[in-house]
Amino acid sequence: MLEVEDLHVAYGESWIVQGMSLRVADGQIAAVLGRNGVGKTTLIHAIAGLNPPRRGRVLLNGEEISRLPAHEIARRGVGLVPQGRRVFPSLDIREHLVVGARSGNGRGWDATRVLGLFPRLRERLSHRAGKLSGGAQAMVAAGRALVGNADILLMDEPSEGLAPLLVRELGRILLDLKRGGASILLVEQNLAFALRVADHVYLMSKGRIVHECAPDDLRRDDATKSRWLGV
Amino acid sequence: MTFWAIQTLNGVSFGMLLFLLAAGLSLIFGLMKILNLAHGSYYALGTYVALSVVGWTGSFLLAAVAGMATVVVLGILMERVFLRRLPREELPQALLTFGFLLIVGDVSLWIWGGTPQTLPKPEVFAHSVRLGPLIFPSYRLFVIALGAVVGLALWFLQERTRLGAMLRAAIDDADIARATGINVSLLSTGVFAFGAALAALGGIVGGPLLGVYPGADFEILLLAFVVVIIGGLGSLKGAFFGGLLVGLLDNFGKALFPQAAMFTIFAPMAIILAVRPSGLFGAR
Amino acid sequence: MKRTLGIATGVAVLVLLPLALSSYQLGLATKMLIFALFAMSLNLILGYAGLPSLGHAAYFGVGAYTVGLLAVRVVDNFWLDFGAGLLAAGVTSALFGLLALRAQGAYLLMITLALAQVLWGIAFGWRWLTGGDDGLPGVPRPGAGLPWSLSSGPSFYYFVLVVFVVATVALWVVVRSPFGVALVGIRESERRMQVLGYNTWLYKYVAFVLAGLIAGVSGNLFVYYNGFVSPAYLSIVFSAMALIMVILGGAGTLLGPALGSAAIVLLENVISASTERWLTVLGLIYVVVTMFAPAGIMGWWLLTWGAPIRPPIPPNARSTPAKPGRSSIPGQAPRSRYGASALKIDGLSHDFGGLRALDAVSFEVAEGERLVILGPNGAGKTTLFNLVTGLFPPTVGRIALFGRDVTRLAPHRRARLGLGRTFQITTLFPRLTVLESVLLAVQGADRARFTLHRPLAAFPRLFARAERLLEEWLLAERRDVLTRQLSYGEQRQLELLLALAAEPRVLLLDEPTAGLSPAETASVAGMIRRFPRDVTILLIEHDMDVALELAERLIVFHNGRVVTAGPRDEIRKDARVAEIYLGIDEA
Repeated sequence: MLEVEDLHVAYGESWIVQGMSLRVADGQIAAVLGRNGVGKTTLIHAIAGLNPPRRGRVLLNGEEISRLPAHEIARRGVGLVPQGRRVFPSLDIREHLVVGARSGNGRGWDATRVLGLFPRLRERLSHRAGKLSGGAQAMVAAGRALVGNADILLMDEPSEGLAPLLVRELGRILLDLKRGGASILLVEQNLAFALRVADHVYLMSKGRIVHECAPDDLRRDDATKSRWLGV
Repeated sequence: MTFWAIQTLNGVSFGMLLFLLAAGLSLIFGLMKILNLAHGSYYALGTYVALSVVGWTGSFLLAAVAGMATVVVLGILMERVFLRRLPREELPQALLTFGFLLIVGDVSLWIWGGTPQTLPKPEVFAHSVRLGPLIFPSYRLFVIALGAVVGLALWFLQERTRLGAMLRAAIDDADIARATGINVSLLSTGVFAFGAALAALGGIVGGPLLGVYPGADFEILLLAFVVVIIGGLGSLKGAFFGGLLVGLLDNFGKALFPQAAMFTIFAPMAIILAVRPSGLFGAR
Repeated sequence: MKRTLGIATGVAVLVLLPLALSSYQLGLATKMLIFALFAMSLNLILGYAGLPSLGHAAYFGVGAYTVGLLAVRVVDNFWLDFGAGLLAAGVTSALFGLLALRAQGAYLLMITLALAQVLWGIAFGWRWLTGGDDGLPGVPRPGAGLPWSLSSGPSFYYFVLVVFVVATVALWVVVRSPFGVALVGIRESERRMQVLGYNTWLYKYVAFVLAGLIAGVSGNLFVYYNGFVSPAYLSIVFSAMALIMVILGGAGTLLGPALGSAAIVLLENVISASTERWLTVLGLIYVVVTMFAPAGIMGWWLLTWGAPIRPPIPPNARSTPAKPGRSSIPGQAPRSRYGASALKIDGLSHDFGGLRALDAVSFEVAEGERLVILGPNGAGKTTLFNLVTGLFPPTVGRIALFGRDVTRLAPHRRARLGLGRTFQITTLFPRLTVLESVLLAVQGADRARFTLHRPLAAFPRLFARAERLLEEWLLAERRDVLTRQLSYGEQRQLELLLALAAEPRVLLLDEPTAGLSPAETASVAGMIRRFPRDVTILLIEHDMDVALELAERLIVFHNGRVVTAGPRDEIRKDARVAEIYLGIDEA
């Protein structure tokens, strides 16, 4: 589904991502874990086209998208749920679902279906997103990406700032999406949450992948966890 | 009574013209953070072109279209070829757009000469209308109506359409808007061209009332600045109410206190700056 | 040495010019000097302080009109007229500065333009006073009140030259003074300067008025030169011309604008002789310079000859070491002059629109304590710091520094009371060197910081302190490197050093190890451990290791609330903390 090959991404004059390679298989959830500041968001932004890589490639279903403009990448089926949600404060919930809407690849997401997934949003369709709670904003951000009918979702620390109950809920939703055929690249600091939903785990440090394994393996591997995640 | 009514009408119609200019300026700034000093050129050039076309064809409508089209082309050229390549800082943008202001102004002087000229009113509005004891030129009423219609249309476009939502999203967070599939680059050029067209429309519609002459571009630019300072840069409501306010103040000022020069506009501007620097409807 | 020779040669050439030029050419040279002064005055606020103004001609024109009107209508006395012109320009810039400096960026451009246009409108509209569009002719060359007449070409030229040299020297002194260097700091990072204790508004205002005064001088000279004054002197064309002269010559260099004005005056002269389309050419110059040569002539020159554009801090200014400053020996007992409380937060809540970022946060920090604030992203930690630093006022609650209520005090005032801070996003001076940055920080805590009339080099104690700090914290070898060329790790170190240089009593460190490699993290953590014992330290950390290593006490934040607080060993074992961080299954 998604392949990242030897990616090098800079931010200003410093290299943040220094030769990363990973894959997200069709219909799977891949998680990238690492401490604060290792470059996880830079990686996501590079794939989404917001910060084009200086070297390396990103392939979506075999097609290179590395240096396309961000809106082109979105149209080709990459959906972004950014860190901190970043909803549009002047738009109401309904408009969020309109602005990102795109049909045609048969996944069948539309505003109605999103509202079915997040019924709490139904009562507040005309509320401006800037005034919503963190949890509601998380739902709006996810919905905004979903109506684009993306082939792959990029999710940057979606559990951040959410109450434990909502984090559970989020985990269930991700598994539901996966069952529906979605592929997800998940970047997280919340280890337990990531391990619960991922099919494959990558550990990142200083802009590189330093370890990869199945979630169960990592659960048992205290040495690796402590070395790269400081747990 | 007649005096007040006429002055109010004049002030409101002038205010509508200011709204058209300020709306374009504000839209462009809101999305692209560009302060476009050449906005005054769009106003004047559109009018000059319309003047020529009306001379050749006799059709006000055709002249209006031609004037707006010329300015749209100029705007797109400025945005795509020049402004896009500049760093996103106020000063280089101001200097570049000011350079265009100078060039267009001087070339216009060369082509159309220095004598003040006015556009002829369209035939259909050449008469006056009687409302009770008062007699108003119908053209002024047309200008007011046009301004109100454009204002409503802009509001509707911005608040109730998908395009408007995309625009507001791009203003809120351009990067995430892009990642949501919105072509912010195309939107920017479109907004720039649209803002230019509005300025030209203001000039053409104002042509029969204010005329066009060397220096008109500076004068109207300055008034547009005062409108957005008072109303708030980036706000459509601010452009509308600010425009009305400035139009009325300027008109009554000239009528009642001709010696006060620019103080009638200066005073409220200074008050706003002292009390609420971001303008009446500007973002805090 | 080379520089002095160059200046001496330049002055000699200027003095000898009347012998070599025809009277027409001399007139042109005179005009160049006048406009050079005008452009250099704009450069003070634009190039040095970073304030873009589209209305600088206001002060030029006010000076010119005052002199003209007095000389023609009232009394032709040089001292009276010139003095009045200066006063008028100064008063105008003092008034306009109060309004204009409430804005930044695009707003500042618009407001300065609008203010100048008001004056233009008066000059244009009040025909009875100013002659309106026709202007005011018949202004005589200075003579009355002076021992000799200045009406001849050469004598007027020398008069202008003298004024030019005097004003340039004055500018040179200001630009090399602590005040001038602070202006550059404000241009590079106003926020950083505020938390270092500088009242940035005051600096900008004084620079604004000074620039207005010098613009007034050039306006005075111009009306004498032309014998005539008209509304054009107040117009946007004049203001914008000053701008392009500054940019073309090189903003932020002392003499660049002079070169730019000479070029423009010469071009205008040459081109106006062969075509009427000078304004079109001028417009093209604007377009070409902004697109292709934004650093101007001086920028090109300095680039070719290898030197970056920097403020005039003499590279070899050293002197006798000052008496030793604060002790950095770890382990010394904290001095407690004001009692136990260094910082007290009481019921602090803050809303951003509908979102409650902080909710009823209360805690107290004792003097000399090391307190770490722990919590995941989005927990409200940086908002807390922003409120404590004073970047904006809280919705509800009180903040007290050493018992004094500072809740609504401006950031620079809190810095003066001893509050220092580093930022999560590095807030440094990109185009200044390490030494220059530390000097600014040291200066901020010193009485000398508002000195206008003596060069920075005359304060050896500042250099001594800066050098000592660099030595002590191991950045001495990088002292001449531009900040933006440092590695990210070095920049974080510099960020810490700047905060420390301001001699704070309470230091807020916002994620100092963010984005650092393990080695750099250890280095920075080590640095923090060596900070003077009597400095109270509040640290935001995301990294559990560093937090537990540096803390004596911890407060854990989540969703804007304090979840728990206590000594390190307790928190380390607290299950709630583990859950917040690691999302450990409750099941």
